[in-house]
Amino acid sequence: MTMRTCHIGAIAAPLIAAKREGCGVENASCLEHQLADLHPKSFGWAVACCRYDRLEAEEVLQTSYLKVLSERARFEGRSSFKTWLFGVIRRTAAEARRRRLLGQLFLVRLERLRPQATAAPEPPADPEVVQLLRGLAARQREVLELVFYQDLSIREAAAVMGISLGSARVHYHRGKENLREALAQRGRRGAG
Amino acid sequence: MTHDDESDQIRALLREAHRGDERCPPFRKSVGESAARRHAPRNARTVHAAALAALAAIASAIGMLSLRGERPPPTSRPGALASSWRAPEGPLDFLLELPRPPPLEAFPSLRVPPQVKRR
Repeated sequence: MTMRTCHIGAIAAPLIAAKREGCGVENASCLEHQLADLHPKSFGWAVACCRYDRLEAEEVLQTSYLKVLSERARFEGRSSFKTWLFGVIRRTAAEARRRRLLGQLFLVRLERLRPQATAAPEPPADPEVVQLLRGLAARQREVLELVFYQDLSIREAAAVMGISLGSARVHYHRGKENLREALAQRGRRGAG
Repeated sequence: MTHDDESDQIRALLREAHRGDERCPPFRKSVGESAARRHAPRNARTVHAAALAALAAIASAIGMLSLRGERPPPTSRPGALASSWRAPEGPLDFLLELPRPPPLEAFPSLRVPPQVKRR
């Protein structure tokens, strides 16, 4: 188990199950602290991985935190914590998508613990923009999200996506091209 | 359009797509729910997994049975080998076979003749 010392003060509550299951309290609190720091960005990335479905993104993020805190996913220090966490979120979103498709295929109702009482309806993003981005291939959209919204380098984006730097560059350029084309079409439609 | 303009345009698009992200659920809530979720839905999940496993087992059993039915009967099985075991026969053994029943079947009876009894 990778033990990293953390000099940041421990966060007392909530007492998560991970602490009781053998990953030292210091380590767990350090993880929590790092997760808390990255939480807004992680949520944004989860939203992107779930094709801008926020409710699904919440579920995916919860599952990802569960994986990290119970050490089903371990940070080995081979990349930055942010890169690693984004990779975990991406994989979790892919698993959730597969599970949902499988559930639809076998007509099995998989439990979805969506929060029933949301505070207020969120202002939806421009549906046309969301549609535009959804029109891109998944990897192209992901690399653009990571570079332009999460401010990662293409190398870091490649690490998150688990692909080579060359592939990431190709997806980056093709994504930009396709987005440019889609924007031009949208402009023509608007003008016509 | 310059490279920077294009980058700015993409950034603006992505910001628009993420407009609701500022209201992301609080970290504590996400962690608390993930911890609660770990134990709560296990029953439902287990039932679903068990149902899927049972269905898969039944399907595989049916598949195996149907495959077995289509297979041609085996020519030599261990049981068949045991039941068909005989003493080896030579190629010229038919020459030893007799056209009539063997002579020993006409064995003389050992009854005492009647005239001997009178004496």
